[in-house]
Formats: sequence, C-alpha cells, structure tokens
Amino acid sequence: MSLPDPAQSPELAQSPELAQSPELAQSPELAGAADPTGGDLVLSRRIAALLRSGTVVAAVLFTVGAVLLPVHEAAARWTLAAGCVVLLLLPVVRLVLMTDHFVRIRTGWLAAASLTVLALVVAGALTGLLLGSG
Amino acid sequence: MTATLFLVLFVGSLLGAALGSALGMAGGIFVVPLLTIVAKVPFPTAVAVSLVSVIACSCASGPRFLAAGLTNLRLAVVLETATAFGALVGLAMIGVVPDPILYGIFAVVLAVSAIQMMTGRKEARLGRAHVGSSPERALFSGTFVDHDGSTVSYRASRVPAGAGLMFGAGTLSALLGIGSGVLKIPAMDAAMRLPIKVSSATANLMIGVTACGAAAAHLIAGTLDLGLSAPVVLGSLLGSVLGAKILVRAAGPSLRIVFTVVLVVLAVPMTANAFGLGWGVGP
Repeated sequence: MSLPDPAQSPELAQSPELAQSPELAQSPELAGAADPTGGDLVLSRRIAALLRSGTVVAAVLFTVGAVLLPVHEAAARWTLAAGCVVLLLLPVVRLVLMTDHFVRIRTGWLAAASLTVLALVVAGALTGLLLGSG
Repeated sequence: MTATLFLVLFVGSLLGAALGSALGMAGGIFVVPLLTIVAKVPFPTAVAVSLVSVIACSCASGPRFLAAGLTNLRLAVVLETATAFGALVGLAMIGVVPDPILYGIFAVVLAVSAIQMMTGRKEARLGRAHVGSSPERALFSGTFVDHDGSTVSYRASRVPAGAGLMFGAGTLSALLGIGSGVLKIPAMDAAMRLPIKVSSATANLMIGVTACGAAAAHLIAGTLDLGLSAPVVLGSLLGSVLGAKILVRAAGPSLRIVFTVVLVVLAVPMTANAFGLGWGVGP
C-alpha cells in the first residue's frame, strides 16, 4: 500500500484522528507520512502525558513532605527528596522517549542529538559528586 | 522554618510563577531574590532551590503547549545540546565566581529583562501560509493553528547563532538558577525568527532539561535545601497552572507593567548586594 504524501494532502497532515489512532502511534512509517515532521505530534502528546502525570506525583510528594516537616523531619526530607527526584527524572525520561522516537523513524542525527543531551545532563549530575567532595 | 516564612515563600513563588507563566517565562527570576532578600538565604542555596522550581514550572506548563502542537521538538533537542553544555560550564564555575559578581550579573539580567518586557517582543515577519498549502520540508519547519484559526507555517533560521545564545542561556541558568529568558528571547525571536508562541513553547520545554543537570548536581552534593524547596516548588507548580488559566485573561499591558516594576524593584537590592551592602528584609 503506498502511503499518502502529506505534501499533497495537508488535511491528512493535520488530521487529529490520524494523530490519535493506535496504528499511527505504533507505526513510525504511518506517523511519518501523516505528519510532515515524522509523527512528532504523537510524540508531543506522549511527552505531555508524561509531564502531566509526573507533575501530579511530584506535587503529592512535596505536599506530603511539607506536612511532615514540622512533625517528622527525617521522613519529610526523604519524601521531599523523592519529589525532587521525580521532577528531575521527567526531563530525562522525556529525552529517552525522544531518542526512541527518532530511532524508530530512522532520523539518526536527531537520535544522536537527544543522546548527547542525555549524556550532558548525566555529566552535570555527576559533577555533584565533585561538588560534594570539594 | 516558621509558618510565616513558609507562607511568604509559597505565595511569593506562586505569584512569580503565575506572572511568569502568563508572560511565557519561568518564575526563577523572582525566586532567587525572594530567597536571598526575604529569607536571607545564601546565594548558592537560593540558586539550587530555584533550579528545581524552574523544572517544576517547565513540567507544569509544558503539557498545554505540547498538546497544542506549539513546541518544536526537533529544534528543542538540537538547541538543548547547546544549553546543556552551557549549563555544564556554568556548574564548573560554581565556587569560582564570587557571590558579589553573581549578584551583579543577576541585577543586569533583571534590568535587561525589564527593558525587554517594556519594549515588547516583536513577531518576526513571516509569510503566513494559506490554509491548504503545505509547509516546506525544511529541517526545523513546523505549523500550528493560530488563535484566529489560520494555519501558520514557519521555519527556524540562523540556528547556529541561536545555539550560541542558548549556550549562554545554559550557563546563566546553572549559575543564577533562572530560566534565562533574557537570552532565550533574543535567540528565538530575533535570531531564529520563530513565531512568539512557538519560541515560548519550545523554550519552556527546554529549560527543564537545562536546569536538570545542575539541579541534580546540587541534590547529589547535598547543597539543595529540601525544607526551602517545599514551599517554593509547591508555589511554582500551582502558580504555573493558575497563570495559564487565570492571568492570561488579564490585560496584557497591565501584566507587563507589573512584571517590569517587580523586576526593577528586585534589581535594587540585588545591585546593593553586588556592592557588598547586604540588603535584605527578612521576616
């Protein structure tokens, strides 16, 4: 089956139904055909869902930590630290999602870019070990 | 921490994030002065807490931009290589740059941000595509549906120049604990000629990654004050969401004036601290 060319069919390129179909979500070829930017709209919605749920979890942890602070400081600090970890992991998981997406649509240089950013973030985090020992 | 200080930090962070969110910026530029001037917290400690709040603002307000298709993910990841590298350089400068100089840089950032806010952001002259025409298959092209229902096509230009400014934005972010809108705005609006909605949305996503490495470094090093982070992060999360829903209905010029006045007011004690005068209010 030949895939429609979005350059000839802008309606197809901007069809929300296609963007939300499970087949489209799982098929990089279809995603790339329907969306001129290679299914990035599907990726955008996945990242949006990740950020939404992660933010809610972090908010709950920070709220519990704030309530525990005057009552049980040790438990509060662990809970707050967990909230911080959730927040810090959100951009990292987002990069992993993007890398996976770019690999699946066979855009190698963008996958390499997202991996580079991931490496730089990890390198930044590891400098914390130096800061802590300094 | 007293209940009063908790409330002051929560409300201050909420207002800062709400105002920033309504104007397409993070609230970090308010959090650092709030912590150093009101809570009398050392500058490095304030930066660490502010970095976490910047990530919180980015994650809380990001979904609506993503769902609307305003965020250019490809451009974001390419520019993030520059901001993340800049953040790494900024981290390396921690402890090397004296606090008075950091206060001075922060005061300059506040002043420049105030000027940018008053002069307003200028939409790059774009050739708006008619509905039904297709965008070029260019590297960083994209489309979005504007408020009037028209489909707008755009393409980022001069990406290397934008990346250079983004490197600086990343360095400032790690050093000062801010979202670095003062550099992102000229980078994305003027240098890369992106539509304002796209540059705001894309920059908002990027700042989470930019601040992530530096914030993680502080958490691992034990220099992140978790007790202070509670009211600041909660206020930032709530403010980012409220800013998008409520303040956006307020008159744009009024918000800009309030934002500018607050920036100028904050620049005064930050400048004083740069000269070692040790200004602070405190509860």
